[in-house]
Amino acid sequence: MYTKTQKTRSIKLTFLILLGLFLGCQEDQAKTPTLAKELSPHYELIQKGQFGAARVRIRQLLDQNPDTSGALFLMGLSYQKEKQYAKAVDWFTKSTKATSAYTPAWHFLGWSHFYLGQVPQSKQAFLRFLDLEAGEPDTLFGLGLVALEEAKFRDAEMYFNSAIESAQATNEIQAKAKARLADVYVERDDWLDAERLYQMALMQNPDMYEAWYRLAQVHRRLGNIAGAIKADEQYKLARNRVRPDLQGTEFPE
Amino acid sequence: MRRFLILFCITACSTQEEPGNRISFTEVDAEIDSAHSEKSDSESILEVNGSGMGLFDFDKDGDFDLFVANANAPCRLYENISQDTIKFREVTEKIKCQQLVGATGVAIGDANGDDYDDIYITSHGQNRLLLNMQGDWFEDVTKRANVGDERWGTSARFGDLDGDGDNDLYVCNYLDFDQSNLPAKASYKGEDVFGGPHGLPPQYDVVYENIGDGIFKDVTEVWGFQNKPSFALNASIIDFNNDGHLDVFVGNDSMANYLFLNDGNQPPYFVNTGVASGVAANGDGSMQATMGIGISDVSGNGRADVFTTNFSSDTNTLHLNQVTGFFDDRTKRYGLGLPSRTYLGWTCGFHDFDLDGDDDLYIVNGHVYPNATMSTMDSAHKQAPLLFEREGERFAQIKQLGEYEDRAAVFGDLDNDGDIDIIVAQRSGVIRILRNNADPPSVQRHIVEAPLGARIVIKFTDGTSVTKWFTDGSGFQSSSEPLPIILPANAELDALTVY
Repeated sequence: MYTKTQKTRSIKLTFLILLGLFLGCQEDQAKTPTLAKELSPHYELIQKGQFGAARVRIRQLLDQNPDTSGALFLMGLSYQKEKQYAKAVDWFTKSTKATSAYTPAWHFLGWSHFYLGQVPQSKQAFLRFLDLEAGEPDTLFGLGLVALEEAKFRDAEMYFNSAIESAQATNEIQAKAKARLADVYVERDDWLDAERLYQMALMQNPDMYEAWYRLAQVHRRLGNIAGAIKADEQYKLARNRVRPDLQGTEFPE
Repeated sequence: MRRFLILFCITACSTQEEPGNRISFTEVDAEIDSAHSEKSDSESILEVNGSGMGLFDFDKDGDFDLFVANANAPCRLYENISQDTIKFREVTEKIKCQQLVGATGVAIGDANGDDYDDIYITSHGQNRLLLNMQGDWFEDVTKRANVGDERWGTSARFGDLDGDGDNDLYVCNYLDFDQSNLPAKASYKGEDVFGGPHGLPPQYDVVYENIGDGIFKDVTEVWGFQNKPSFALNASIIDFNNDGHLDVFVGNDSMANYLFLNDGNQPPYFVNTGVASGVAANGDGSMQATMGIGISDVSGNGRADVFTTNFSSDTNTLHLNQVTGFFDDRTKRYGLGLPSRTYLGWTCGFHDFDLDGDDDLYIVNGHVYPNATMSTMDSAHKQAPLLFEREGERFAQIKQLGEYEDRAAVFGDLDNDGDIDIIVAQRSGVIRILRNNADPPSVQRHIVEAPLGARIVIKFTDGTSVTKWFTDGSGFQSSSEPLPIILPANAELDALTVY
């Protein structure tokens, strides 16, 4: 949710974690199917941004075995990474129908629905994933965002805290969950706690330019104009690092 | 504080069914010609915005008449002849000027102080001012009035920015576009699309002071409006900080929005506080597209909150105007964010469509790219409107049907039955008249005389109050005569004060 690049990184990270789980002969391997080894080259093509080439090869596999959950999932992932969420939903849904316990598809289905504005479907997919992979932090984070959209701030707080405290939480996930937890405090007009949490989040990941922008706004509300100016500068620097394509659209004041 | 006479108060009664708690509209055939854009399919950024409308009682006969701007056909004027049903009759012959084509936007307001609303038209070429000659006909006085800006104008607004008793004029300008030198194609979600606005030179807006008798003077620089050039699409002129002076909010496409606060001096000086106040971007610092602007006191604190419509795969944004002077993005709290992600929004309007005492929200939509589909861009080229009913602290979506290239809309009680109807213009295609089915059994209608942009505080005997603004609606490239205050019949009014 934070930035396109960070979201892509997050997808990559989550997928690698999930892939690791599935390929790593975990205890619950019987419960969750593994990604077939013959799909690794296809996944690598997606990772390299060669989406069309990946899809051609995945389709060849699907022509032979149309109900292969992993292949259906990768097809969805190729569209998700191109931000074509409607198409991604179609393929992730097919993957879950082929194997209802195919966990990565549920996770990414949750995100695709979210980016299409389909809150109930997003929530349902995320919850289904948590049934299969309890405590997965990026899904808890996603459920926190869903709760924010529903103005269920206690739920959002609970989910973001769970994401932060999850044993699987990476530094990046902790940082973005703290930043969104700060958003909950903003909704409550609790500016001091929001300021503290944005600062903690940005210590962990200074690339979250949206959080720098929010921190600047909170500083202004607290009368800390010098802090706001510094945060604005960091916002610009971080945005130029992460989204160089946005350079030239500077704030005018 | 200024108090103005409440001119007229009526109670309209009907024995029709009770108003439901859901909102619905019925499309009626009112014999309005289609909107004519440059081309049937948009091949460049020049052709995506369509043209606007003006809804006003030009002949002062007590009902709303309609002016339709067209880019590729003559502009048209329609007189409201509604009786049992909504009906218009074309009276374009009342507009006495040549070649009124290429038009984009419409601003309605009294330019010369004769108490008749005039028409200002923005265009790809020279803008025009048509003076309303006592409701009989319209005269093109552009040259004499000094308001013939030739840049690509989008929306324009009248308002008494210097507080001297006459309407000044703010004109939004978009970008420099050379039709013979089209910008390179761009890519969006892997699809080829036309280029712009990024990569094209943004334009300065222009601000005119009314120096009397319908004559204007360019005061853009001396009044402080010479900010960075921008892709301006829309503006709203009201008193955003409740200090008694009109301010200007400007919606810019993919750039920071401006909030020019008026220092109240003579002459006034305006300072852009968009970033410092938080209204320049959404809560994450994203500079959005900002086609539509909706004004309402959503939070109930007596200040004008700002709702803006944006591009697809983004969300519309609601900024709450706090008493501290800061604008907080509280879109999620009110349920107005994610439902808009697959829509590309244009004109929006807060109105109490179901007459239950709070403002609902109507948004017209349509994608700019002809090759947009759900499959390719997560957003269709033709889209349904979005309708939200205010339910407690949230807005609940009421699903709307249809596939349209909507751009402009104007709101008003077309059939004088006490509820707010809507006229919607597509980029190119049929103009729809949507009759509100509320069928109110009884309403109070208070017609107020006040300057454009005035704040109206309505106090009730139980100590509660609501705040409204006497505006032209801030429609995208469109403008409506300010609406009367309509209240449920059982509302016990204590005082109605104009600031």
